[in-house]
Amino acid sequence: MTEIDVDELRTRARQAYERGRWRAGAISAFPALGLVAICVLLGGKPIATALAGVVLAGLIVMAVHRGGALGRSVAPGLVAGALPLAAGLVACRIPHPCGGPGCLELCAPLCLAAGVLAGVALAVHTHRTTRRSSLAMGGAVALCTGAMGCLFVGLGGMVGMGLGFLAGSTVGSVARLPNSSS
Amino acid sequence: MTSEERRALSDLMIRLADGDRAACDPLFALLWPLVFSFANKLLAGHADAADAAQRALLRIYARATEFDRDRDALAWALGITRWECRSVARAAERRREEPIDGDPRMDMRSPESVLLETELLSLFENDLSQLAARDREALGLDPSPNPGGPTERKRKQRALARLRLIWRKHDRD
Repeated sequence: MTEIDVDELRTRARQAYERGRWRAGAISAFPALGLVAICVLLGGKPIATALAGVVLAGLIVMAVHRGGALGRSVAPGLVAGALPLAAGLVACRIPHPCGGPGCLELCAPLCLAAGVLAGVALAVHTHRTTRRSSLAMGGAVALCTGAMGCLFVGLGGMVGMGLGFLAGSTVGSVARLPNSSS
Repeated sequence: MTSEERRALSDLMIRLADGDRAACDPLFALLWPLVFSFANKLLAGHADAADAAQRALLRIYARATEFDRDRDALAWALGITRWECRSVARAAERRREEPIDGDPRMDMRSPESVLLETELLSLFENDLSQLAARDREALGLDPSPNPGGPTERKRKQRALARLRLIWRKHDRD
């Protein structure tokens, strides 16, 4: 029987584990590509949407590979980001006197409201976890997801979503402070 | 394996699945002897048992992210080991089926070609038996009383010519 170098086998096992995590990260990033395809098919800005999709996919791969709280924050981030994404996609399709990228009639306020909701939802969900990095990663994933939808609206939609998300997550985090201190 | 060890194994596997790299080495220390002995049991006496065990361990680590925390880690790991052992055994079986050059036991000819060759050999032996005694001696089929004579080459040529004549009769038949 051949002699087995246990130390070498341990190193190879670690390498296999890392490869497995990268693979899991790549598989988890597929929804991002699906979202890009949907947004482009619905008539979004292809280059900007693809850029947001690439950033989102990169974040997902990195977070899932790292694992732990970061990895667990991907799914809530995607779900929270789906709100501004959907809002951005439908805003310009609702008949209203749209004023273009800075439309304050419906588009930007809708993205802002969706951003607030997404921020609150994510902050409340990360209530159980104590790590700020998880909220930061979830927020980045949510913003990238939402950006693909709000790009339809334009700069107004993007700014609205960003400000809304910041406000929402701050409110959500402050609201959980009494619970976390007890 | 005690139930505490089994629980510890599951806990370490859950930590590894979650991305805790610190669980890598303790899990290895606990898992490798189990995987190795299980593979040896499954492939008793097989030369590739150690190879199968190593492949199984690497597969377990590569698929650690897929581990379901509700499952028993030992059963999951040994399931992967069993699968790897089966793959190794099948590969070894396939290797055995492949012909080895020059080995008459590994003759992969069709039954028709074997039959044809047997018939030709039988005809040839029959033709040889029809040769005269001195022709057989000239061709070295029977022992010659005075080998290496000055006319040996000529005698051999004549014997071969006669054999050719006898053989050509089959073409006409």
